[in-house]
Amino acid sequence: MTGKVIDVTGSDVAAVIAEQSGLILFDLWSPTCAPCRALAPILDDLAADFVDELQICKLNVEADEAIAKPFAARALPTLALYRDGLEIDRMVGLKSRGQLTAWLESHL
Amino acid sequence: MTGAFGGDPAIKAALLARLESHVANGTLRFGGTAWDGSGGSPLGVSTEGGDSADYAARFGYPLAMAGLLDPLTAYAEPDHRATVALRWVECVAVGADLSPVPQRIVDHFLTAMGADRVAATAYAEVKALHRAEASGTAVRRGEWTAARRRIEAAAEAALPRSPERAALNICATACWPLRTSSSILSTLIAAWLQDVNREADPAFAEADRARAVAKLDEIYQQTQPLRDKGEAVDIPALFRTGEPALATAFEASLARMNARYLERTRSVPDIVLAYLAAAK
Repeated sequence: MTGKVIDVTGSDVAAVIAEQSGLILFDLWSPTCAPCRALAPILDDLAADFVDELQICKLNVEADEAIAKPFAARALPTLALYRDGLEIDRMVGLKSRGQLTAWLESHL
Repeated sequence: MTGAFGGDPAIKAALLARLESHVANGTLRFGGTAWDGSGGSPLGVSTEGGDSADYAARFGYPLAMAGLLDPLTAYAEPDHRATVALRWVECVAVGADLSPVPQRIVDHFLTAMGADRVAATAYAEVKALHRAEASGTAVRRGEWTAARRRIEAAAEAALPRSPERAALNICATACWPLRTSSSILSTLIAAWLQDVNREADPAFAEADRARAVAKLDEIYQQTQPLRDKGEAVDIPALFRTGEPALATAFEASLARMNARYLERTRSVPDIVLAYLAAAK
């Protein structure tokens, strides 16, 4: 866990899922999506809040459309939560820091 | 970093020169954080990126302040946005300790909404957590969460649209660690701005507002079949035709509310810059 949001490209996704133990939150976003931009500082803060418990990875689907396919994301932003290589939950749309904190804490 | 700009006047001068150059070139833009390689938002051009943590590390501003820079400049009148971006740097003394500033700004907006009077327990709890954090005491995430949940539950129990509920909600919004939060101040200020909608309009009675909303709902329901067929429906025009006096009064009230919101928005930069300038 880095305490920071990291940018991940399509080719890195499988490696991140395979190598990272514990919780990983993938944020599928696009620079042209306003709710995605509003979510960005919240995710930065969550990365610090959950510094020892969660790794947050951003996936820019506009830069690499193929990234979205394995996640089957139909809307942005999509937040996919993984534990030990498997997706355990997801959220779609802009959420508050409080809502996301409650959601993440329910999976710790 | 030791204080603002690491105590180095050259860092402040270089940052100001960079901003001034972008102002002169017309490449300083306002709104969302952005950097496209040749121009962008104040945070974007300052860091040639847009990372609040990078800004905080380079220039000695607390992370919470760095996260506020772009929203703050966007709140100013369009003609004054560049001036606010420059004053953000100019008004801070080299080497000033800016670490107490976020807490002072939080306190400003909490008291502006009467939290110290009508939500005294929640206000004291949030202040105590921020004080503990500032003194270096480790405050676990669970403590923030527990406090926030208590405050949110109290807000839910308070009367809708009451000053107490509004004050409790803003206390919950402030109930996050300041050192690791880049979004807390912008979220808090946005909540204070939105609260202007809660203020009653003495020139438009609540009963009339309720009647106007009911009429608009009725028009919306009645015109649903037309929208389903893809036809354009002008709801305000139908409202004006059906209830001309009520529609006129409602629209005038909306205009007054928008004016109050805009006035409050325009006041934000001066409030924040005063706290930055006062830091020693």
